[in-house]
Amino acid sequence: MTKPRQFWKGTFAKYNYQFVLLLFLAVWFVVMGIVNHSFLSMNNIATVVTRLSEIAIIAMGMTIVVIAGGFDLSVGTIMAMVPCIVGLAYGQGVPFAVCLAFGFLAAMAVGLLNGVLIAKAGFQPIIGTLATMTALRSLIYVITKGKPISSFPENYMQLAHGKLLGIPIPILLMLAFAVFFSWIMSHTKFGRFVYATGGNIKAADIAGIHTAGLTIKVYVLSAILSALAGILYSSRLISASPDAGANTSFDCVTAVLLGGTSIAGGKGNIQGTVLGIIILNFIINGFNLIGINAYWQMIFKGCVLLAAIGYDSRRKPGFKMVKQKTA
Amino acid sequence: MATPLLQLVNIRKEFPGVLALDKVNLDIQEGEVLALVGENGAGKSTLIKILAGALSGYEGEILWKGEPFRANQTWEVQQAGISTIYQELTSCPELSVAENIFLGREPKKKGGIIDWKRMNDMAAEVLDTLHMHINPAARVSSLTVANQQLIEIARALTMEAKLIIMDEPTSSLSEHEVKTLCEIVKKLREQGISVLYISHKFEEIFELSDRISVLRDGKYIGTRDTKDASLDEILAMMVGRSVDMHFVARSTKKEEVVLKVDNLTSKGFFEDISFELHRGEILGISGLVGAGRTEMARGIFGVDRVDSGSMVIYGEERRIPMSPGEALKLGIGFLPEDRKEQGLVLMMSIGENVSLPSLAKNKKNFVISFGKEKEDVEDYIQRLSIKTPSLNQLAQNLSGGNQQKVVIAKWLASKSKILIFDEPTRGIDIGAKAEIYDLMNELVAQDYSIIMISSELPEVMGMSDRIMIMHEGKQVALLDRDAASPEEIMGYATGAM
Repeated sequence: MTKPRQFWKGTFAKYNYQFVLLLFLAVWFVVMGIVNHSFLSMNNIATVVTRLSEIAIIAMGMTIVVIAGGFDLSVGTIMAMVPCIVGLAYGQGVPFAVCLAFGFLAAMAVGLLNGVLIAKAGFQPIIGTLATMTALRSLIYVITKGKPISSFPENYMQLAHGKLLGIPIPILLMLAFAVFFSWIMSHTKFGRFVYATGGNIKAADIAGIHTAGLTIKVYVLSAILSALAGILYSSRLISASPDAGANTSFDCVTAVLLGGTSIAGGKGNIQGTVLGIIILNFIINGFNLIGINAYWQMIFKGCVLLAAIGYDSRRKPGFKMVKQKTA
Repeated sequence: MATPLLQLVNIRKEFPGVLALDKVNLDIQEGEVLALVGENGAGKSTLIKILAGALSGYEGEILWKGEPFRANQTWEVQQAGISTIYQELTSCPELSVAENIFLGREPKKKGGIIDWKRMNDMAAEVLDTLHMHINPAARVSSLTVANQQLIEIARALTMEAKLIIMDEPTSSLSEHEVKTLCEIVKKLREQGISVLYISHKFEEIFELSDRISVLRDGKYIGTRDTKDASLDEILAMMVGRSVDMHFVARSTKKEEVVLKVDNLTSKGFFEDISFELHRGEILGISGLVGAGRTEMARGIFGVDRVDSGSMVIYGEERRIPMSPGEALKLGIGFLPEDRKEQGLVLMMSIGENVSLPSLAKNKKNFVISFGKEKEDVEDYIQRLSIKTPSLNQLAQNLSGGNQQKVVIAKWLASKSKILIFDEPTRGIDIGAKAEIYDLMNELVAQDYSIIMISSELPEVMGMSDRIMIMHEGKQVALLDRDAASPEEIMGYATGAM
């Protein structure tokens, strides 16, 4: 039934924006490669990609939350909390596997709390997660007494610094997750229901989807991915800081929106977010290499956010209709 | 006769695809209460909006005190002396009574500072003329709905309104409050203020009005002096039309009862609803907006919880669904009244929309089988003749009629055989309406059973085997199609019978 031409037209429209992003990235690589010789070195690229793997994994969870019509401010706090719990428990002589289990269970509990606050108690996502974020940060300071934790096993750093087939493990993890979650979102009922819930929660409810349960699952998933990112970052530094992840949720959302996911929900994909993270990080990296002051870089992030949201509101369904009506 | 205060001459208003008002003539004398009646969709709201200056782009002429008057802004209308009190209150709940009365016109001292004392005194004065004993400094949110309404009347009085338009002012008032309002309307009339009173409640209309004007399908039908008019005459004017010949006779209704509900109650919305739905039957549910019909449908489908009642499906006692998912498993489907808000995920494709309930119903299959999905959806697109180039088309790009068919396809694909349609033809054009009717006839011929909520009398009378009529949450009649007359249905629906 579907004519090939329409198929290509549709596919192009769907990924049109992401082609533009890719093109932009390519241009940036060429320009920066000419301006600065170390930018295109294998060493620089591997370092940047390894670093961005952590935030990319969180941003994947955030993408799913945003597509489901939500928002998760607590990701950075969960990322900070989990390694602190793991390190503290290990320092007390608890077997490491049990410590990890503690960490992930705590993260899941926070995700569950977020989900229940939003889906059952009816809080706005931004308010519900702001509350858990704030309370949790305070809890982290209490249990760590505000000091970094560095009691980790000797080979803990192998996770972030090790390589498999010559590729750093964090990059492999990121790629595996990206493939897995983009498959989940496009090929499973869970993914379909996430899009439906974010697209129109009333219609999704009436279609028989248990939207409250789905919302809770989505926040738990986001928390688990944040926990994993926390493990990666503490393994990279062999230390867990109670201050970590202060800007993480904002950086993630910037990347999610830049990648073409709609803040209103119902639209977007994992590939776009990974692309968004890569672009943001290589731009910052480029700025650093040519010596632009780090303090200036926040302005750039703000502008990117505005540009992405501006683009997003422009292609919202019915945007033109609304304009006509009010005119 | 003296020059009328307000005269409407051949008012015509067209929305894309719909003629909302056609050659409407009305006149209101000074110090007169004119009641305006008509079915849902007769054009009353459109007329009010035009009068209030909230809607432009109409044809025809409005004469105000004999002079042509064309207002494009609500404040111009208010300044001229026409105030409108809408069904939904428009006060600012967190401001005081006096602030609301004088909003935008606060008395000021030299230097532009609000003269609070004078404002409160003036507010007390006007409240006194309405015999309202309310502290002008009280917050509006602390008042009852009835008193909030009176605040708006007070506001109209301070603007020296000559005409006050009231749009179903008693729809959310208790009986005692209705009496108070009626007294106030009479008092306004004594002061020489005219009132255009829009209501469905004939008791008030006959008590209050001097004359009654009737609209039907956007057309002006006529005006009667209240003292000479009979209820039957007015009802006949409201519904008086031959039932559309498009409807065909059917004999698909079987003996078997597929759904039986008893004493379904949800406090504040509907109570003691009992009916049986037969295989192959269309059970029409008629009533005014706010009669509790949609709430009842949502209760049966598990969208909202009910307080009590019981349900038998295909001869088996079942608990009333606690969620749409449960209703879906019982084989019930629900076409909500607003397809864009509740029926469809507009940014998803037709195919994705159609398969949502089927996926939700089937607990197995974590991975979607695209081949089977495509096959199923294409089958239903063909069967319902949904006009679309492909099933990947986004639902938002379809016409209203085709969107409605997609919603129906959702439930057919999920094998639901008991279908609840809430206003299935609302907001779609005539041609698409006929197609939906054909489709419904075909469905009942295939042993589907349909509960159809509809505010359009010809539709209810033409499509239903039996008609249940609801009024203020109660089931007031259950008639066979052949035994029901439009006047009778309208009489039950308005509580006049």
